[in-house]
Amino acid sequence: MAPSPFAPKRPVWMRSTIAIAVLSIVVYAVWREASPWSPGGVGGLTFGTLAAAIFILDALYPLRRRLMAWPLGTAQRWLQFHLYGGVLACLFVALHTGFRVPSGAMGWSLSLLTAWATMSGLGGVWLQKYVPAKLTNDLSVEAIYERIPEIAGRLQREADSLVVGAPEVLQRFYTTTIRDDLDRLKPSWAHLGGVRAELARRVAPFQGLEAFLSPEDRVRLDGLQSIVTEKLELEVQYSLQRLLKQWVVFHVIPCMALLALLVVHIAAVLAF
Amino acid sequence: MTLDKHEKPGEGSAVDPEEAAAIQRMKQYPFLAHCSDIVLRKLLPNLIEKPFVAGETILRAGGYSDAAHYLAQGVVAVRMSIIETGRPPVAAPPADTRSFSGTTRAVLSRTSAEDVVQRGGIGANGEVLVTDVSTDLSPNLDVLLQAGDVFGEMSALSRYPVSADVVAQTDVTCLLIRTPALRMMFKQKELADFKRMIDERYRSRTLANQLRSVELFAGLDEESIAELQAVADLTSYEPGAVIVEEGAPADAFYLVRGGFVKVAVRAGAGDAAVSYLRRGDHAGEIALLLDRTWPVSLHAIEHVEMVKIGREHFQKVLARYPDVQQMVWESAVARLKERGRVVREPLTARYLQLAMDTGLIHGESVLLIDLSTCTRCDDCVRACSDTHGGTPRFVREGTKFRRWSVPQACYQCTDPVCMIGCPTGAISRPLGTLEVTINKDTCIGCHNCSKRCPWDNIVDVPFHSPTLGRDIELATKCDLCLGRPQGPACVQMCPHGSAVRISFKDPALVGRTLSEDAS
Amino acid sequence: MPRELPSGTPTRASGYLQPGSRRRPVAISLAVAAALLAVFAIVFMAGHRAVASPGRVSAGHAPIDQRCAECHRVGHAVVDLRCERCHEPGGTHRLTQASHAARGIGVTAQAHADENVPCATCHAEHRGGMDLVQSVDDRTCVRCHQFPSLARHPEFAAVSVGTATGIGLKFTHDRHVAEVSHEGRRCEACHQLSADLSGFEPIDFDKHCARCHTTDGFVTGDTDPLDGRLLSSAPAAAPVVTPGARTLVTVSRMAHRDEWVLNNLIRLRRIADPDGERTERLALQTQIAELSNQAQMQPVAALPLGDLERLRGALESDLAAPAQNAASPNRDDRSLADMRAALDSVARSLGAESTAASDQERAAPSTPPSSETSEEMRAHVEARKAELLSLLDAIAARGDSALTTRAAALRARVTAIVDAPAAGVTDVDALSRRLRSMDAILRAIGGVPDQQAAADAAGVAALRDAAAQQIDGALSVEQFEARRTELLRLLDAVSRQNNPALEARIAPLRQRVLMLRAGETPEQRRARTQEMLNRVALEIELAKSGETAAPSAIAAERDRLAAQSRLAILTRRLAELTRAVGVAARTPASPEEALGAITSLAAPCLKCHVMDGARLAPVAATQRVFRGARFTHKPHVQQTDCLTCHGAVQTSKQATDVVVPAVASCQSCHAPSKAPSRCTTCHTYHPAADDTVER
Repeated sequence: MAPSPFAPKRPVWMRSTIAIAVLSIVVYAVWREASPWSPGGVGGLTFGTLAAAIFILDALYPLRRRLMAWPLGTAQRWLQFHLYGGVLACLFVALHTGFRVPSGAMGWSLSLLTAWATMSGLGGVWLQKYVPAKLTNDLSVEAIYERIPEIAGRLQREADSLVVGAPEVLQRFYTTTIRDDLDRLKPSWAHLGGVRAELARRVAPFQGLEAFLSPEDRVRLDGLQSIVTEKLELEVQYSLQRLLKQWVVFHVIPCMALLALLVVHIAAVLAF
Repeated sequence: MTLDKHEKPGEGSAVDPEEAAAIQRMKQYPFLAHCSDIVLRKLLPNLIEKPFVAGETILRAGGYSDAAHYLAQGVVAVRMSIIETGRPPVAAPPADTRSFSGTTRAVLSRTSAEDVVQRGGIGANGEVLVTDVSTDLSPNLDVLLQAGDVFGEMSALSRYPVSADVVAQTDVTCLLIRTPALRMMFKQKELADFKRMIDERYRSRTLANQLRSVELFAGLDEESIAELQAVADLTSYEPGAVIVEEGAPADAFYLVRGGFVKVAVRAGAGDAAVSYLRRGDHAGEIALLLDRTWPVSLHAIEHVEMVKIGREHFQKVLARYPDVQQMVWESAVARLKERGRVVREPLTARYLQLAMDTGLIHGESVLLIDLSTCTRCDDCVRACSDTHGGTPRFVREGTKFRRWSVPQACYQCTDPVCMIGCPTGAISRPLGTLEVTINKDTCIGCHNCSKRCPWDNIVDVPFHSPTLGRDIELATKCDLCLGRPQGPACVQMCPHGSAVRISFKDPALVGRTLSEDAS
Repeated sequence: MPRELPSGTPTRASGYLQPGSRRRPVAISLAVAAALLAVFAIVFMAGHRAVASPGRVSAGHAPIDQRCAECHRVGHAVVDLRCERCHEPGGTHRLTQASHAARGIGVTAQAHADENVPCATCHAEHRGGMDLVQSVDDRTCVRCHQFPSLARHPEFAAVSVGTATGIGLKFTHDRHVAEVSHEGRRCEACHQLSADLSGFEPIDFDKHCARCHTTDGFVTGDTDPLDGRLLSSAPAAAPVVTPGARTLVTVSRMAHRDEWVLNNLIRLRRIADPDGERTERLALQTQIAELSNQAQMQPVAALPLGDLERLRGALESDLAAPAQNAASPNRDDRSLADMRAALDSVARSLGAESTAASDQERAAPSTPPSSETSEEMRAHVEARKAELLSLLDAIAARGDSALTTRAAALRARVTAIVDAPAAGVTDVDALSRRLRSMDAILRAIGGVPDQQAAADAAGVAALRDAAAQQIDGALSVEQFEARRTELLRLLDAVSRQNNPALEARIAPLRQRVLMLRAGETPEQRRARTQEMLNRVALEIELAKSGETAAPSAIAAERDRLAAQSRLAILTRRLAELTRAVGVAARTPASPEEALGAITSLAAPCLKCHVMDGARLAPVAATQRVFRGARFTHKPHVQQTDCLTCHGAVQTSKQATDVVVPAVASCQSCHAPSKAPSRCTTCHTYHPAADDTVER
């Protein structure tokens, strides 16, 4: 049985991460009982430094993806570290501040950016498990993102040539109902929910027409239906792949800003 | 020598004067003298006379030939550059990838695949090499062949790599009998002598080695091997032929000389593929020793050459070796288990059938992408591109089997068709390695290989040639990142581990890998 | 044939295919992140420095939130000096660990030996506006005080150790409680709550005791017979004196606190116990000097920049001056000589001519004499006197009437200075060494948590100081203070000239004069000079950086007022001690005779009062039982009855009974989920501004 896409790929790492998280919280709770907690104290500083170090290591992951020829370990291992490390770093940031509400522009910025980066990261984890499963199980067509516009154009032309010489009713049906759908790509996040409803919607008009066509024209109609289905699947591919690419930007923005502010924060704390 | 793969032997109705002249020329050859004109006409497109100048290399070791070479005139030297035991050539010591410094050195020196090939790199699989030249060859000693000798037919028939260099000593003329002609000739009664000659050559030179390579016969003494050698039948089958029916009484032991054989069990109205046999595999020993009927049926997927040993001889020889019987028992259990598993999970059979239909069974290392975890990020293609100087060697487009996608990346076929017909020898597979590589410096962009590949896995890259002064397109293909210590870049750089490379040599493993399915 | 939906890729790329470029998303992300950072940078540059701080400062510091330089210096931790600049401008070291320890131990000398805890250790900032910086966690206290909560609080020192002298009266609560309850009244008969219910009005003889303990306004009882010649009549009128046998008399009909009686007691005491009286006087004088300095000293932050720089220059040259011999008899003279040099230049600018004597004097201080004979000492003193007189003449010549009067008064005093009698050639060094060795013993004694022992040690320490002064031949505290006061008055007079050139030099001079302390070793002097220099340097640095403003004067004002009120009390006491007491016909021949006379004279008083050496023990009208804790009666009297905690009064027979409940009775209500039980509920780390420690 293939593992469900949502199961962790490295259960050992997940278990160790949970163990470390629990241990950190316990250490924090015990320490806090014994003496007042301060972000600049020994405990707070340790957690803060760990969080900063993990953030910096996490930021090295895109670098790893650029230096593909170098023997630095598999990309999968790096990504796993990036994920689990990021979660731990977020926890460590909270422990560093003692779960205190932030104050001041810097405090709020750091906290919000950390939250944004972590939440967007976890959202990305979910997206990257959900979208491939969706694309693979619900669709039959598979295409490279950059080629989809070209293939869609080809479909358009194929459809046009298919209705040449077709009876009036079919041609009218084509120009009024079908052509719009084939015209250009209309990516939409709604495809995240599934393709079945949309497919039914697009295919429904075909049902009624069969009675009016001869057998060979019925073949044409089936061909048109197949083209419409393929176009829809291409659109879904385009939308969901584009969503994944948009997510990258949404995640990288807070990470870069967080790193920059981190430098400022560390400089300010060291200087004073 | 451009060849279109769709071209078939011509069927002309009118007699062409040129053709008639050619037929007459062919009849001068002794073994074709008694051939009828009609047959000759059919054979004609695949009979080529080719001259070679002195010193020219006719066949390269490790390469592939698609024709039997009949030496019409001249002398050729057969040069063995390896030792016959089948060990790969000792080349420059490989990069020590276990140590960090070794790995770093290897990476920093940016060994390219081509360099490794030229030095004779060592691949993951060592192949058992079969000689197709007479007598024992000692390293670096030449054996001379005279007019009337035939060489290269093993490679043509059974798709073995050529085991030695064949170099023209004098000006030489050869008659190239290409594989389709060979097969046709074997079927003609009037050319029975020819067939016998070829068979005898096989039997005397190669069969013993091949028998020894079967693990069942590993402990047999010389006498037994010679006995089997003498009584073996050499049979060939057309694509699609049924070699053995399920339920038929077991009457022979089969050893595959060349081609692929499908092993199937009846499942409902059709046949479910259980496994496939390739060159070197064998079947029937279980049925023979347990004295039963065939539990499976054997079908030829393509042109298949078999070695058939009759029941009495087989049982007589093996009766002397009780250990062998023990071995057979154990393998019987394993095969039964495998068969049972397939019957329980029909998906496996479907996958195997698909693999056979689409040619994946040829692949020694096929790149598969698990679409249910692939985020379509293109990092695999980028990694391939970075490792190969900016041009990726594959495209992430291909057929989809449930959740697996087979992108158009070279399968590293066991018997690479692409290697046939390269005019410069730029495409080669170093002896004992998996990887078929193309040398960028010697490729002239003739597109023979890219046209031959049945799956369009060879990519043509635009390149401005300084010597020619114009743009040509060089052929490039996946070379399994030869020279990269960590292995193929695509597999290593996939962030989700979706890219895997599997070998289709072991059907059981393939079935298990592909058919793990959540739904 | 029907068209099929492709499984996988619909078509194959005809040509070569490169993966999509990653440049665009990277560029977008970089741009947005850079924009975010630019916002921060712009806001920072515009002066809003607080964006760089990890958290907003507490509400109390909000006005200086933007002025990082108030507290921070790049590359350094926050130093206490910056906190003290606003919170303790008077330089009294009130906020140090030493002060905290001294309040508990009672001896500042040992407390100073404790390591100082930086302010920032317990008071953490940058935690948001709602944070209370002054709210310190209990566990910080636990670091030194080893019990974690009120439940484990050790028994109160007052209860376990008790006071030796009690309130200074022979007072039995049980008898009085019985009497009062006969009348149907309770505690309120004598103990009236103050207006804010926090404490009680002081017990007053006239209000609370006179009703029963006086007859017609006179204390009951007569004195024992004593020698009438020992008594004086002036200044106050005597009560009824009844002669007896020979010279013996009996005094009767004395009022409470009868002036005549008190005068005689004081005079007799001076003979019976001169050391004790001297000790007391010295202690008072020292404290008064200290407090008057505090009251007069201007906080450094209030000085203008020019003054600060001049002061800094002067302090630096002070420090750079070669260290003086500890046994030099001219120690105090030297500091005064420096002052004089400064005044000299002031006088010159007033137009007076410099005399040859002042020239000679200027040369003299640079060669401090290491060992001198009494002759040379006398010559020195005479030379100084002459120099001073000439200076005063110069000032008087100016013609300003106020100045002239002053100068005349000073002249009289200077001429009255008599050279201290040479006490023979003593081995000054050996004596000094023995004195120093006493210091260690005193410190050890001071560490014992026994109030009586602490008091004794304090007395011995005062004697030791007096001895040091005598051995070193230095000025007495009185003389020192007198001379310093004169200098200050001179400065005041000069500043009234309103001459701008002079103004600039007056303020630094004032500060330096006020910095002087009598009986200070050079090391102490250097330490204090260095500390003042640090403050001044910080002030200059802050003024120059332009980022900070002078702190509000409220803290300084509060400190000054606290010092002044205390000063008033002590001055009154000193005045009482040193008042004119008249002359008697005969001086007692020996201290024992004087003591006998005192006891006889005070016989009626001793019905209630107790003797402490040669004097009546002072009565504590309000008992300060808890040295280090604040206790307000208000929430307690509103919820319980007096007898709940003070039930022991009904059976208390001794004045030394401290009718203070044990810690257990507090713990019954002050527990985690009931009444507040944090350390800071009752204790503060820092002593209050008006809570100076007596030495």
